[in-house]
Amino acid sequence: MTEKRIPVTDLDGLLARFQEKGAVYAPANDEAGDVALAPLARSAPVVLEYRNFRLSPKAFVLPQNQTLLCFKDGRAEEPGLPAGQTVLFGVRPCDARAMLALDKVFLDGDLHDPYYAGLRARTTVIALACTRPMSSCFCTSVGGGPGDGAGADVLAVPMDADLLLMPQTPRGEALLSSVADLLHDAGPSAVKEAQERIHAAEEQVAPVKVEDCAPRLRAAYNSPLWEAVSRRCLGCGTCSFLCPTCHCFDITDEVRGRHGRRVRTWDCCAYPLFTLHASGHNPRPTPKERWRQRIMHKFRYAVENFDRLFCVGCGRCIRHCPAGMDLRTVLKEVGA
Amino acid sequence: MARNPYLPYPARIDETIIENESRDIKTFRLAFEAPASAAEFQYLPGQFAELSLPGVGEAPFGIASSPTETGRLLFSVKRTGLFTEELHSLEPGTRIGVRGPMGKPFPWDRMAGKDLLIIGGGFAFTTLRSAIVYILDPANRSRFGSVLAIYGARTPGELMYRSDLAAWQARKDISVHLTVDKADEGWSQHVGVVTAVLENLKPSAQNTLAIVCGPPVMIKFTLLSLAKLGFPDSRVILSLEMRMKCGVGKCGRCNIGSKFVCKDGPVFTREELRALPAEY
Amino acid sequence: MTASHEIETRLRETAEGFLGAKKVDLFLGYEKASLPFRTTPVFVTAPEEATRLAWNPFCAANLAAYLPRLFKAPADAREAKTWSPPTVAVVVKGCDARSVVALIQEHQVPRDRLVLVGIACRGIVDTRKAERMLGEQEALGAGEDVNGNIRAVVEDGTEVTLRREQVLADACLECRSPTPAIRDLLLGSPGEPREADAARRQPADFESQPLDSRWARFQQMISKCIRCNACRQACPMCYCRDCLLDQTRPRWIGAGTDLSDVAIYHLVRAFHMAGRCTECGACVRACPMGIDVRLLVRRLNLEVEDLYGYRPGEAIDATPPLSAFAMDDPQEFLTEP
Repeated sequence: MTEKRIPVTDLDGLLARFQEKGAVYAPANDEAGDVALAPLARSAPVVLEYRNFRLSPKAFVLPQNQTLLCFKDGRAEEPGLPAGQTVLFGVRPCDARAMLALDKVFLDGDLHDPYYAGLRARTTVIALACTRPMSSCFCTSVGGGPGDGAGADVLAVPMDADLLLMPQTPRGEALLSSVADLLHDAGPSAVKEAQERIHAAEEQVAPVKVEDCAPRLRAAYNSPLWEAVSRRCLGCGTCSFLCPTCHCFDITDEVRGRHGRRVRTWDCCAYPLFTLHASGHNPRPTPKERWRQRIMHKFRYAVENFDRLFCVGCGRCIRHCPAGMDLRTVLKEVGA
Repeated sequence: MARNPYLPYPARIDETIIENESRDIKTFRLAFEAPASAAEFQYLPGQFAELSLPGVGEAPFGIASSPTETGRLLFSVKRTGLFTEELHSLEPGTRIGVRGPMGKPFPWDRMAGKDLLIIGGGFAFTTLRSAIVYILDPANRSRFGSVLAIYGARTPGELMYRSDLAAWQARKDISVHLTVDKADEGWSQHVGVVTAVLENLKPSAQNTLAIVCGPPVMIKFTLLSLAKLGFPDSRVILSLEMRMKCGVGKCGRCNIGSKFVCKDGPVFTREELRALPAEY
Repeated sequence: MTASHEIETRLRETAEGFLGAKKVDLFLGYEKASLPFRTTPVFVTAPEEATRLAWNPFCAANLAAYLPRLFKAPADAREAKTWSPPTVAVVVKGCDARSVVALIQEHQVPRDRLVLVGIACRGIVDTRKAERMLGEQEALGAGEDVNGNIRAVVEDGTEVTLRREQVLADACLECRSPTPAIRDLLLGSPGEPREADAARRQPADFESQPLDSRWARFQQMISKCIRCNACRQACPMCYCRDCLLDQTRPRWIGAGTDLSDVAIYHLVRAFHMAGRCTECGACVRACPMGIDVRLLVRRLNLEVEDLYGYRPGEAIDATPPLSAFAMDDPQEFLTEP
């Protein structure tokens, strides 16, 4: 796969070309002054200086609410599948990598989830490498990195005046071929410079001890420390909803007259009602069990089932937890 | 391409039977609307399905019929919440969706050539009915050794499948012991908890596989009795219940440790459960 | 030494004393978090851990939210037999103390098991405002300077001073109760409440807009909602075990982002807060989407205040107006469209 390059000044043109074939989302300022992935529009100029978006891009493949079935007169039917392609530009490598974790859950053989698969198949991800990680980032400790292209179709690396575009998948290669007239070849020196920049960014990411977390957590299952670390959890769900790998959902039916739908919505294992049985029994009755489940799921059960951590080190949960919780601290305390 | 795991097979309720005296357990006999659905719905005893009522929701239920009962798909449902209450109010002829079969069945390969000890309590007896009918079918019976079943309920009126139970007790190729916590006049069988009957009968653990289904308290004490009788953990089989939604291991709700009760269970050996956190 | 630092020292001494003398089982306060502009609640049980306690302008959480849980008997019947309610010391700012009073009135926590360690608060920093003011730079550390402003150290090592008024939380800019009215002791010297009308300005502004633009603004605000329920979980007054809005029988609202479902969630919650909300801002802080969750409640609270002369959380023996009825209660709103 050949690396290409495009002057930053030509980026708008490139994105406009993608827009001819489908929807394009790119980073832009929202009314609060934060940068978010927004539909490409002249009124929302593309911004390249940002750390990461508040909301993860998982909503593009696993929306907050999604119709599974339509009902009419007591009969269930599959809804029409979404049409059209979507290009996401500016996804950070951690968030792109997260999609690989979601793939493990939803694209599994006989129990293949057609709703997720449908959206995933029509979403092209152009990741933008990070040059300035935050103090809450720890992607390098969980198998990723500021310039890691896993999960993306194309990895874009910002240089001074150019963006280096490195295809990661056949789909990415095809995308770049379709706009070959707008791109220049990138020589080996550009590639080398990109790697140096990425390396410089990697050095800035503070490491977190995560090796052997699965067996360490297994051994620490009954540690009294869980009670202490979970007491401050409010069960608010912010961490799960912002997390790029969290995917737990609820399924409910909604009715309007003789029509209705079965819809899946984001849910959170930290909610008290999550595992409540109809009998009133709750296997996870207090924040302690629920917080332990959260950590165990991401750092132990996922490893045991998929040989993959379900955390990409994006740090959103740390930045946005209203109780100031930090799972790096928890990992350190219970793993120790 | 694999079938959409969220799409139920269209079916309808053909018959409803009230199972117990307090009238909160009903057995539903369902029929698929399309013969193709029936052909696809191949199951083994121990598996479950999600029953679906559009506009109401879904809930998981163990399959009570045996696959050897062709054309007869049975689910026994206890009325406890939103979905079951609605289901209980439905008349034969109503449309219903069936999603499945789901989960891992009882370990039939391992059970071949063994003596079987089947212990059930209360409402959890549903999949055990499926198992017993399957075992007793002439095509299958010779594959298994002796079969001892112990089934307990609170009162005689709460025992399910009473006509099946009577038929089984009349047979020579299965021994069925029934027990109740509180007898009524006319009850001449055991009185007391299932574990008391078990400890009295003292079945041999030699080449025997035990299957236990029941409420958590009953399971707990039964496991203790089985251990006393010398059953190793690998030969004690349990079927668990958990709050479920998707039934296909994706919504994240029913896990015990790294295992999903819907996909990796609901049938587990005691040995497998010991390796999992005690969070159920 | 800054005023906060003095309070922090006295706070630690107090905790050490209480725990050492076994006057309390638990001392609930704040400690340093792993990121700047934040603290995290800490549950101290041993006197030697008292040094973990912190007091600074980042002590945002309303610790009253953790109290009802502490006083509930364990679900396990056997554990419940040997359980007795703990005695808990809790650090409270003015707004937090009002929440505690409201919880006492609603029988969620027992007064005689609480030691209210009041702190005369000068306002809390809104983490997002502070981070936005630093623009592209990330703060690596932050603290209070002797003038009460916030000094942050950013990535390139430089120090940036943020003026306190510019980074205080909105709720604090309108605060009329900086000093806990109900307390067992008070640390720090009482500050000045904001002018009485500060809290009315924003609702008045909003209400002066034509109906169409108010509705548009409301819709735009709630269209960001992702139904995470953080606002509800963070609120000390939302302690219902089974929230109305989660109920399935009947199902009042769906769980998705359908605008009418979202609107009902926020409207109903606002009504349930009328006369109970103590304006602590926990909901706004918790919201990951930056929604001004307080918008509607402010207005309803002011209505209760104007109609019934009642501000929640000022006196334990006061009767909340929505829990009582007198024949001469104002009720023009019943006939006015």
